[in-house]
Amino acid sequence: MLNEQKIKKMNKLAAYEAGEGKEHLAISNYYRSDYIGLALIKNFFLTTIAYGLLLLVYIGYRLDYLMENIHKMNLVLLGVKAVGVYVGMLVVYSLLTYIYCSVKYSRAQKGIQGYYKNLSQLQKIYEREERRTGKLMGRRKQA
Amino acid sequence: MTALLELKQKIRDIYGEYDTWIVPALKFLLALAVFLGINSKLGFLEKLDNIFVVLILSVICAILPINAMTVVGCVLIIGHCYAVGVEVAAFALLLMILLMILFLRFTSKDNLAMILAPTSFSLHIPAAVPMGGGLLRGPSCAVPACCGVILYFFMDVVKEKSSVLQAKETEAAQKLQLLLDGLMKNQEMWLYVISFLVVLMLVYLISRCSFDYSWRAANATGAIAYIVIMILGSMFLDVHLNIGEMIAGALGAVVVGLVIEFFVLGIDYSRSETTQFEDDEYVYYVKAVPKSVVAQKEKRIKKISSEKGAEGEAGNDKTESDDVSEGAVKEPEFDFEKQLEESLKDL
Repeated sequence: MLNEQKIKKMNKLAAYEAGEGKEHLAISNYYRSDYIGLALIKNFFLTTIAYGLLLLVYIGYRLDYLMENIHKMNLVLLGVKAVGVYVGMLVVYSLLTYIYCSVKYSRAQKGIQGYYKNLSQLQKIYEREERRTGKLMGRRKQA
Repeated sequence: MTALLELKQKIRDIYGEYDTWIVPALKFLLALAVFLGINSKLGFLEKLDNIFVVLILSVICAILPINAMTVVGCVLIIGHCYAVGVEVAAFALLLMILLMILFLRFTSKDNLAMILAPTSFSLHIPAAVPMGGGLLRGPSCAVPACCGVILYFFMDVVKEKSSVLQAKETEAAQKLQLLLDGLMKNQEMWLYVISFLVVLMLVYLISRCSFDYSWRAANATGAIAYIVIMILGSMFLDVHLNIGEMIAGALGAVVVGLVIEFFVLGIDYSRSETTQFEDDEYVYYVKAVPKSVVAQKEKRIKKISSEKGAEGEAGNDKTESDDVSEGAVKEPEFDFEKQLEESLKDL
């Protein structure tokens, strides 16, 4: 006979696994520090690329001015400014990434806790069913 | 209102039954609107400005996840920019990569708003995006919506200055300057970015309040804020707006907001109840607002079978119920008592 409670539980678990659970399960493979650390490393490269592109666009935009006035400019100060902006951008984006990943990790943990709770309940339903079928088989053998 | 609620219930039932087909169909229609909007705005590459190509792309987007629409839309824009010039296409690609790295990587679930914003501009209801985002999503939706505004004005600049950008005499650096000036010094674009931000935040904050008709109040406030910001912007900045068209757009956005409210929220404030109770640690103020649901009329077929003696009773039943079937089935006469006695004798 079909066990309605078991089917409902299995449906809930399958829906979670196919939806947001896919992402949550992938996140839960990492320790929190590893997950955030990896995201920060990724952020370092992405921010560097973005900064490089922005610098490229800026140089392209001010090309005429730069070509005419490069000999008058304090290049050291310009370099310090460029590095300062880069460091500032890196700090801001690292902070954003840290907050974003922390929130994402804690949400995934909550989702996974609910998932494991449902899994253990499903296991109990299976055990109960096995016990029941075992008893029935025992009675038949005795008969 | 009852008829509308019945219609909603019917739509829900149909959606529940055929959602496997309805979701891809809706995605297809959305993709079609988005791609046709891009083609009507740019339309420089004839190979892409073809209804069959658009249909094929829409079918692909109907199967793929919804974020694929954003990617395909961006590819379409780059394709059209390529027809204007390689430098323009490179700039478009650069702009999209920068938007992706700097902003969109934190809002992966709301990125559809980026591609919906240009479509809403082409439908003359730009305020619909921040209002819909505020009602359905949250503050994070403001980021892709504002990126969508930038994307739309980038397309606008490319269209306006296409003749200069296509000219062979124009150098690459000049093209870059033209495009960047067209974006960074475009006060209209910044005005729309500010209005999108303010409207989305206002709609989000007000719609999450617990007072009655908060969604409608959020809609109205969003529309008023949008109109006020745009009028102030046109007064103090170098922006020329068609006030009538802008107000009509805001009203259109309100209608979109009301439709969203009807389908997503649908609650009956007239039957709301407030209770107050407490335990050892807290005092609870609970407000319960019932959902407006209309019971659908169900057709019931009742079969009446009876013996001759009970015909009168059956006749009464017939008059009481409108849905009684005409052809009542008559059972053959059968003496149960006699049959029972015979079976007992056998025992």
